Amino acid sequence: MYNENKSKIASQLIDYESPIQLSSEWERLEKRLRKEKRRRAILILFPIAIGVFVASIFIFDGFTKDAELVTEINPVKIEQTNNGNSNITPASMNSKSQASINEKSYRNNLDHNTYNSKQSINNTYQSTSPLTQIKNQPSETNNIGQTSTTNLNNQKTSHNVIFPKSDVPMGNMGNATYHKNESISSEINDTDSQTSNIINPYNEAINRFEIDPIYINEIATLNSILLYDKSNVPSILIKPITHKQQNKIWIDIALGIGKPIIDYTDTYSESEQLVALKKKAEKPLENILWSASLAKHIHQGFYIKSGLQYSRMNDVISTSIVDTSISLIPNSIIGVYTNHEGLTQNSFGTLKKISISEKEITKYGNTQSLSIAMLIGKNFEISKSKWSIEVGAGLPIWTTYKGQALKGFNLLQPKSDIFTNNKRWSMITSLNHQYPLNKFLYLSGGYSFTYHKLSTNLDYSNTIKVHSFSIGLRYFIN
Amino acid sequence: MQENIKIIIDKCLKDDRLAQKTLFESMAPRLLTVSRQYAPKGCDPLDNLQDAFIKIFKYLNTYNEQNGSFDAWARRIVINTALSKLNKKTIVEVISNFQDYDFEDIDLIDSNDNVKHLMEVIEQLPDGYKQVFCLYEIEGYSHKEIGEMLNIKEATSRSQLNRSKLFLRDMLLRNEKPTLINLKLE
Repeated sequence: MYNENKSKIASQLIDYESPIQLSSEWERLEKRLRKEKRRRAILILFPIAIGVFVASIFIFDGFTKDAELVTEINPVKIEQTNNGNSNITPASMNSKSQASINEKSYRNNLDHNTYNSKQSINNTYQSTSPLTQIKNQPSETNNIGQTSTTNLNNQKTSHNVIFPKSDVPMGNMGNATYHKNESISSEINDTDSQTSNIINPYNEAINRFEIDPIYINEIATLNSILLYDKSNVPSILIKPITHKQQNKIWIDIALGIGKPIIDYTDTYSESEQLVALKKKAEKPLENILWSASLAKHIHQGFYIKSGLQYSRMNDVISTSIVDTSISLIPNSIIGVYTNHEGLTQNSFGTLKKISISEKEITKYGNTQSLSIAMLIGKNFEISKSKWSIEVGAGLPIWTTYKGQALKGFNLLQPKSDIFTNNKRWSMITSLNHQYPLNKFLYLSGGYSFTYHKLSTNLDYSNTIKVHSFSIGLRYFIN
Repeated sequence: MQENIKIIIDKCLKDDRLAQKTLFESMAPRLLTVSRQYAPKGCDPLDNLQDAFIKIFKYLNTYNEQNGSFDAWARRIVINTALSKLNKKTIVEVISNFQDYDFEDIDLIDSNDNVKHLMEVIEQLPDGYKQVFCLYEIEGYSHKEIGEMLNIKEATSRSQLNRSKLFLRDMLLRNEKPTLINLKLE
C-alpha cells in the first residue's frame, strides 16, 4: 500500500506540468540558439583561420626567402676569350642589352678566335635568370665537357656558376680557387685588354672589385661562369639581407596594471532596468595582467606572437538588499480579551513574525581568466628608439568568477551563475617601447588596450575595456 | 506519439526552427518541473531549463532511442544541468551539521496534499536535501548511484534523504505555503 502510494505520487510528480509562459521563453531560447550557432561557427572557423594565417605566413616567408636569394646572388657573367680577355656582365641584365654588349665583344674577339663563336652567342642569349641558369647548368657542363680538355686554351669559354652568398669564400678573383683550371684564373687576372675594357665597363673593375672566388670542380668543363660580385652591381639590385633578423625568435614577458571600464548592453527591453541598476551598483576596481609569449620575426619588421595571458579584474558591488525572514514565536501575546469576571487578560499563541530589513552591503569579487593570445606586430624605429605595435585576439581556456552580481532589484546571485565560463573573447592592442639592456635582453614598456566581450545567462551582455600600462622583458633566443 | 517525436527530432537535427519550437512547447512544462526539483538555490529553474534545452538541441544527434525514451533522455539532461550548478560543498556542510543525529525512516507519503503543493514544498528544501530526495524518490536511483552523481558518500546520501523527509513532513503537516525567501550571501 505504501509503495503503491509512493509510486503514484512519484509518477504524478513526473507528469506534473509547471506553468510556464511558452512564447516568451521560446523567444529567449531562440535567441540563445542563434547565438550558440554563431559561437559554434566561430569556434570552428577560428582555429581554421589561425591555421590559414600561420600557413600563409610560412608560405609568404618562403617566397620572401626565394626572392632574397635571387637578389642576393647578383651574378655576373665572365666571358673569357683565348687571348686572355675576359668580359664581365651582370647576369641580371636583360637579354637584349646583354646581347648587344656580348655581340660587340664577340666581334672584337673574332680575329683571335672564330672557333665556337656560335656557341658563345647562344650561351650569351640564354636565359638570364639565375634560377634558370641553375637548372640548365648540368646540361651545359656535359656539352662543353666533351671539348673543354682539348680546346681549353683556344676556345672562347664562358662559365656560369651560381653560389649562395654564404657558401662563397671571400677573396678577389686573383685568389680564386680553381682545382683544374689555374690557367683560367691567371688569365683572368692578367686581363688587360683595352678592347674589352671599353666594351664592357664591368671588366675594368675586375681587379679592384671584391669578387667572391669560385669553388667548383671540373670548372674547365663549364662554358660560362656567374660570379657573385658584391660591389659592381647597381645598388638597386642589392637588398640588405639581415639573415639574423629573419630568423629572430624571442620571448616576451610582461606585467601590467590597468583601469577597466565595464559597459552593459541589454538584449531585451525588460532588462533595461536591470542594466541601469547594475551600472549604478557594480564598479570595476583594477585589472592585473600577466603575459608570456613567443614571437617570431617574419618580414620587414613584422612578427607573429603567440602565448598565454592571465588577467584578474577586481570589482566591488555596493547596493542595498531587503532581507526577509519569517519566524514563529510561541507563547506570544496575540490578543487581549475580557473574561467573564470582567478582567482584561492576554490571549497567548504562536506569533508569526515576518522581519523585513534593508541593509547596505559591499561585496568584493574578481574575475580571473587564462587565455591563449595570437598577435601580429611590427617593430619600428622613431629617432633611433625602438618601438613595437601589436594587435591580436585572445580566447579563454580557463575562467573563474568570484563574488556576486545583481540579478534584479534587491537580488544578488553568484557571478558564476550569471557568466558562462569561457563565453568570452578579447581583442588586444599595444604599443611598447624597447630599451636594449644587452645584446639579447630588452626592457619593454608601454600602453595596451584590451577589449573583452562577455556573454551572460541573463538578458544582457558585458563589455570590458581595459586601459593598462605594462612593463616587461624581451629576450632574444637567437 | 513516438512516431511524432521521431519526426520532430529528425527535423530538429536539420536545424528546423519550427520543429525546435514544437519540441520545446511540448516538453517545457514537464521539464520545468524537473528543473524546479533539482535547481539549486540562487539558480532560476527557468534559466536552468534554457541551459538544458541548449544542450538538448546541441546533443540531439547523440540520442539513441534503443537506450530509452526521449522523455527520459531529456529529463536526464535537465537533471545533470541542474546538478552541475550545485555547489557540492553545500551538501557536505549541511550534512556535517546533522551527522550526529540518528534519523528514523519517515513515512512521508501519507499526505493528501496535492502535487502542486508538494512541488512548492520540494522547491523550498535546502540544497542537497531536495536533490537527494528527488533522485531517490522520483527518479528511483539507489544511494550508491546518488553518491556517485553528487560526489558524496553513500551514507551521506542516506542521511540526507532522511533529513529531507523530516523537513517535508514538518512542512506538509503544518500545511502552510512556505514563503521564506532565502537570499544567499557569500
